[in-house]
Amino acid sequence: MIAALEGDMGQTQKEQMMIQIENDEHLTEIWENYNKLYSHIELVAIDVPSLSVKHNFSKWLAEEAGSIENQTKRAKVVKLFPWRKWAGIAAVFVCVLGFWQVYNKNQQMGSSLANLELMMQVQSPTERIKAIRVNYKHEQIDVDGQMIEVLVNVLFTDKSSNVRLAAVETLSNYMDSPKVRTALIKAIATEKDGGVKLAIIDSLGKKQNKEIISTLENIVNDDSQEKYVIDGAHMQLIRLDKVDI
Amino acid sequence: MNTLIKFFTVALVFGMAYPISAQNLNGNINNVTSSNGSLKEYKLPMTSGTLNIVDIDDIKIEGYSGSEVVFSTMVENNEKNERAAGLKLVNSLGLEDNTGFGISVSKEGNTATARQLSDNCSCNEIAIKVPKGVNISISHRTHDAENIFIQNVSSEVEISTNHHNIKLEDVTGPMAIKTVHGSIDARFSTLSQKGSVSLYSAYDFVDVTIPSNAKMNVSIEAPYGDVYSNADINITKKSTPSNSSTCYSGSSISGTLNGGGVEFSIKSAHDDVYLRQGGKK
Repeated sequence: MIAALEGDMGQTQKEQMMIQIENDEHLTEIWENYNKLYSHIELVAIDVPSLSVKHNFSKWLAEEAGSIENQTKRAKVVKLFPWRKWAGIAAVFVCVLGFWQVYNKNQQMGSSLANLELMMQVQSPTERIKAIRVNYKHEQIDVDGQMIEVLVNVLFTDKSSNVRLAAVETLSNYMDSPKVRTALIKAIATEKDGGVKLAIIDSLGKKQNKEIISTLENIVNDDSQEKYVIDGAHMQLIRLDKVDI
Repeated sequence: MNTLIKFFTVALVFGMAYPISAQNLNGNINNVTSSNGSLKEYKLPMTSGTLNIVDIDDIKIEGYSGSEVVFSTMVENNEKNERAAGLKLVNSLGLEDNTGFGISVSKEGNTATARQLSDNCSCNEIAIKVPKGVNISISHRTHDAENIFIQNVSSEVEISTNHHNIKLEDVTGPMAIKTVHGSIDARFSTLSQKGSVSLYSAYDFVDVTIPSNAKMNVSIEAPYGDVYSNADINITKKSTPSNSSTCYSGSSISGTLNGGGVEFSIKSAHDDVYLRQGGKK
């Protein structure tokens, strides 16, 4: 109906609509109401703005346009600082932090190593044991590094059997390292102290390995070993399920 | 002329002093005889350095504020080897029984060594009084071992033995103690923060009593035994039995006590470990 009154409807459609309206009282009533409303609207006089109002409106329009342009320019300033630049800065920061951490760790390791080597020269065995216990925190050590070399050296050269025992117990935390396993197996042949030898055997028993089993079997068959050392090796073989009880 | 006299005097003094410091030192020997036997005593001037005690079967050591190491033992009449009367004990190391009871004592530099010369030592327990500033190192390899008892010692103690039972009373550390077949029973009066403390037995128990304020980084291992303690250590509890002590099952426990301090390691490779705090036993 509104489209017909606005003149936006084709002649054919309008004729069909008028037939429907004529056949329906309710629609006829609505149509007449719309017609009256549109007749009143057409009667309302249209005010023509004065020149000053037009001028003020144009001025206001120009100011609004300028304001929008400024806002657009500000938005462009943000776009001028791209996210790639931020990402680049972040990447550099991460790299510097990473290098610093590696450098710092190396410095600490170097410092620990120097400290440890110095401490292993002191006369007191309890100080040397302390140096081992403090410097070898399990999670901190690079098992292929120089710290392990120092410990292996202690195992073969320290005059105190208590210090060598501390070295064995610490090395036993790194049984996955072939270097450690080889050192302990060699130490069996050279170690004079039965207690330390027993600790080595206990350590070897932590790892099921062909060479270790062979070493333990050799000890069991070696009559020159102390009886408790032979018993210790035998016990480890039992634990590794390589001999019958 | 005066310079010449001074030179010869100094040379004479050094010439006399050298054999004393480099060779066996003759200390003071005292014998007190009773109807049952005789108390033999040997004194060695010493206030610092290390006293090495090698292969002595039965030892009782006591710290004191003197300036001599005093060795003593009771030799009973029925233990005397009458057949050896008038003869000297011959030793494969060429050492001399300069104490009169089968122990050779020598001193070189700042280190003195006392060594048992015979497996059939004609003595009972060897009692040794040790000045406070002298460190003690005991080593023993043979099967003929009985006890090592150490009392009131605050200097460094190191023990490496295969068969001794070791009892420590009113000690402070630092110390490194290792025995294969023997037990370790240690009671600390205070806990020194010097060096470290390690107590290790391969086949017997380790029982440690510490004062309630002892500060330590403690590591306890009993791979084939249990760990019992009433100490408030920051560790994982596995189970709690009904008695007053707490049983920590597991092969390796570490933590701090009273905020941490000296490195303190306790291990029994095949038996139990007991750690008592505050003198409770």
